[in-house]
Amino acid sequence: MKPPTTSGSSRAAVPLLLLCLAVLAAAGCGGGAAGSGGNGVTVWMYPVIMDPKANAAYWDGVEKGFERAHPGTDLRIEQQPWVNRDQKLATALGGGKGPDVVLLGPDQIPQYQANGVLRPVDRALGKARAAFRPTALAAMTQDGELYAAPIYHTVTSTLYNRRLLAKAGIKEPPATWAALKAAAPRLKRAGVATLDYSASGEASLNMSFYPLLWQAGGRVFDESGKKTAFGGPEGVEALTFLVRLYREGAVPRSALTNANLFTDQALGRQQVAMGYTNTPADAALAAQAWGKGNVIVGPALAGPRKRVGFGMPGGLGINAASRNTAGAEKFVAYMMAPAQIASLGRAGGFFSPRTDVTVPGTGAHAKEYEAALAYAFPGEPHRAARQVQALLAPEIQAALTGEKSPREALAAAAEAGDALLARQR
Amino acid sequence: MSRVESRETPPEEEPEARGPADHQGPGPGGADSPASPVAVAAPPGDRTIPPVTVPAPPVATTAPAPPPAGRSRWGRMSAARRREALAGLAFVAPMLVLFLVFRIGPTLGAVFLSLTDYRLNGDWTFIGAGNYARLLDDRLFWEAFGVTALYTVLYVPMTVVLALGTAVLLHRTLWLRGFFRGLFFLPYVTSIVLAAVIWKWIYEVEDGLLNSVLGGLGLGPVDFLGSESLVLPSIAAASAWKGFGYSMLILLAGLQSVPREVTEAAVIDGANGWQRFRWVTLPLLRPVLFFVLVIEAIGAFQVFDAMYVMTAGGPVRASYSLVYFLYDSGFKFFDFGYACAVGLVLFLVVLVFSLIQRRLVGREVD
Amino acid sequence: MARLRLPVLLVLVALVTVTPFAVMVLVAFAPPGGRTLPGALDVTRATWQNFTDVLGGADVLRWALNSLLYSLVSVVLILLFASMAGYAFAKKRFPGREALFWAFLATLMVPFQATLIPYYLLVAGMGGVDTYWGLIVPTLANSQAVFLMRQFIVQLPDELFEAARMDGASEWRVYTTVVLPLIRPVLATLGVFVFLWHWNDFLWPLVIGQSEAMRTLTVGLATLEGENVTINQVMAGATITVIPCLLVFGLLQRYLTDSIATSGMKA
Repeated sequence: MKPPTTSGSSRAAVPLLLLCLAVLAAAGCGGGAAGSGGNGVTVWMYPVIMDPKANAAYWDGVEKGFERAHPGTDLRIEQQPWVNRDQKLATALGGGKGPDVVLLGPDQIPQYQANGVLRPVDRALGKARAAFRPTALAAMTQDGELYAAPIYHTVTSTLYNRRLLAKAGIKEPPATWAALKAAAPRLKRAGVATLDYSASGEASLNMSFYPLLWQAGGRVFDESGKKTAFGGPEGVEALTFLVRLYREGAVPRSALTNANLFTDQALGRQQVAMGYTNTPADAALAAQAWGKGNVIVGPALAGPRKRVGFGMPGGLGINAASRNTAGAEKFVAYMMAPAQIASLGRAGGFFSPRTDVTVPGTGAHAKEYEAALAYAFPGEPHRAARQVQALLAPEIQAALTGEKSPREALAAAAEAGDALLARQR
Repeated sequence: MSRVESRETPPEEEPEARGPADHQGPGPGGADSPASPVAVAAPPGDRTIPPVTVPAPPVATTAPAPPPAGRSRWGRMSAARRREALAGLAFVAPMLVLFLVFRIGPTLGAVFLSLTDYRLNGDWTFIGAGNYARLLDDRLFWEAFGVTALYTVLYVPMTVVLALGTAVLLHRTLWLRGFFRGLFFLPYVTSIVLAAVIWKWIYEVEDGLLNSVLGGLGLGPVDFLGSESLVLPSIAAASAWKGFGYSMLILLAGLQSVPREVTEAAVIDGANGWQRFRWVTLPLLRPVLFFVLVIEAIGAFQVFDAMYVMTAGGPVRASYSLVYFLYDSGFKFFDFGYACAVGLVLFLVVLVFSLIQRRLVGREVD
Repeated sequence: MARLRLPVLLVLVALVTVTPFAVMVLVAFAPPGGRTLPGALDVTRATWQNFTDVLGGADVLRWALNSLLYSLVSVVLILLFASMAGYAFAKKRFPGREALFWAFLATLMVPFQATLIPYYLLVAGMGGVDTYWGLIVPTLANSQAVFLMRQFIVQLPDELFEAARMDGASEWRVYTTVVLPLIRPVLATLGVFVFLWHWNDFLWPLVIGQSEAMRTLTVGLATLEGENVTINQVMAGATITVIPCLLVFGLLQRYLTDSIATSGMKA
């Protein structure tokens, strides 16, 4: 029963094992601390510029430029994936590690700030404060302090498919709720849906339900921030509008699993005539997929009370455990300078968070988006914003599937949300 | 042969192994019964024993086992026994050290966190059972619990039947067996996230693969992922497709270690294919089957990725599992103490579940 | 007729199994936007476009090498340590054996998401962030591997070891010259599993690695994805990661076939 190759296999195993151990030992030197310590500054950046090559090139340029301007500081910009973004950041910060500087959106700030892992960036902002859009600063502010310095601003607006509208004989792209309701039956006869929507639990309500709520004149939280406000009549009106469209087939059924995506969703695939929270990047993709002449970018959608869309700043926050806050602040200040804001805007198709800098639009629809910027609302910053979204999103699904009426669904979410807020205070 | 000897010894120790002492906790029986694709298999060369009559005592080969009491006393051990114990510890040592540091350590850490209101900056206060009390009152937790249980009930039989079916098919055929086994194993090679992406695309209501086919037959469209009643079976089917290769390989190994004489004897007795499988093969396969059931159930209770990618827990939380709940608590809301409490409750449930499973299936194994 | 039933069934099951997989490859090669079935099936329009889009000139080779290092080192060390531990659990009597073994099993039941933070705290505290050892060593504690090893070793007849020991062989020698050769089949099976687990792993390499140099293939590809990727690009990325797995499985397939097929433990 003894195999002949006995010694052969063990003879091979020993050197292989030694090799493994050697590799581990060689790799074992080197540790980590929060950021880079000393003269280093570590930055976590995400693929904000869609084309991977352009993204790498841009941030390489920033590294070189900053090090030229600040000799002796070693800047490392590390690209991170969007996927599991918070999981990685929270784990690193929880371990007292993580970068010195990280890119943050307004929706991330309350949670991290409440956990004491962010340091205010007011000092880095300094005198430049007056030059920034007040709404952009407000979105990044918690308890009176600024936790991320805006370096770009995104904007969303309506996006129409000209070919599909024409198919239904619609000349004027519907820009109000009323026009949209009127267009729906005609589009249905032409075999397409009217409005794309994202009802997935991972879709931010800032890009789906909240704009409708704001258009109806409602708010997510009341003025005190101690109670939810979406359950009021405005909320019911907004949800009723949405649910009716969904029932009529004017909102496609795939909306239930859509997570604020354009590509490979009904709109990108030309099954729906319009979207109302689409970015300039979406418009560029649409031009590729539908043909340039078929893309129309309109103003923000107008509801019964207001014309408002969503658009938010992206900003740089500083790790509270950073060992080189001076260096981190230098980098933040560097990125907030007009020259950087302009170059990042050009490379990524973003808008300027500063009123004294205009990014010369390069895209085909730059002018329309520039106009939409005036209506771009960055959302209501609140410590429990995420939890409330998690409570509300399934109730909206329940209203869409018909399990609950819009009023019941919102009431249930409001009750749970208020209980949560009461617990937090 | 040793096999003969070891089979002769157990009758005396078996009652002991099943004694109450071994059942109150992590007894040896618990570890042993999922055991052994093997305990069934006689060494191939050894064709004299009719194994059907001796249904594989799980602890058999550790024979001749000493009475449990003697084990823990070094002083009472003979020199040879002490040498053996030292050798055993030495062989376990590398894995044991890794295990204590990187498995038990973090688990104890999680136990500790679950008793605090830990914040990301390292601040915490001890709040005792506060997180657990909150859990019992949390409607979301119970909903997620129900979803997870239902998913497990759907996924485990699906996977095991698929794995067993393909394993039997492969076992019966010689025609291109390696090729087919590779093919069946293919889905396991992919990551669960990729499987979820592919299946989300297949299930799509507008023009997914399945609805294209159904449309061609004049049916549908069916909203697989958008319907509260279909979403769990749909996700379970996708996960079964992805996961059955693992159990298939293990069951196949189990099947192939069923001695051929046994089935041959059954053929002579005039049993047909199904009867042979039902009354001869299946009983012999029971230990492996049990192992596979436990492993798949543990996996099913921890389902998360597939739901995260395919449905984000929807619609209306119809696919919101316990680990999803844990993930949200921990990495969306940064409520780590609470998340750890969820993790530990899940651990206890799976533990109890495994013990019950052992009682139901495992007893017949003994 | 009856003889044909088996192959027909096999082919049917194989078709169902392989369809989603084939779809992946087809969509990966379809022109951007070609995602629905009739379009994606048009092989004449096949293009590398999605692959070049996904890779974008990134350092894929480095990532692949990291993945290979992560997977292969883990395979070798896990096979070694797990077979040693499995041997001891199966064949050696020592105090605390059952309790230890049960503890090994029980840790499988704690979801990784729940222990991620303490796990990271521990490895970070040891200076393992952004290092190869920090990536690899913690993942070597693999309970499932020990479990599987034990199950296979426990069935080996004791007399084999006794015989060697009578000849005066040391414990280590018994292990290398008797145990290891006998469990080659299960080493091959487990090797495939361990390789796959590590090659496809995303969360741990993501969390523990930071610099570009430490990225594995799964993490690296993710860092190239903007927020809106096409399904064609996702499938292309998936195809890139799956191919090495197929190669490894193909290489070990022969080994697996030979060993398992010839009934369990025949060496």
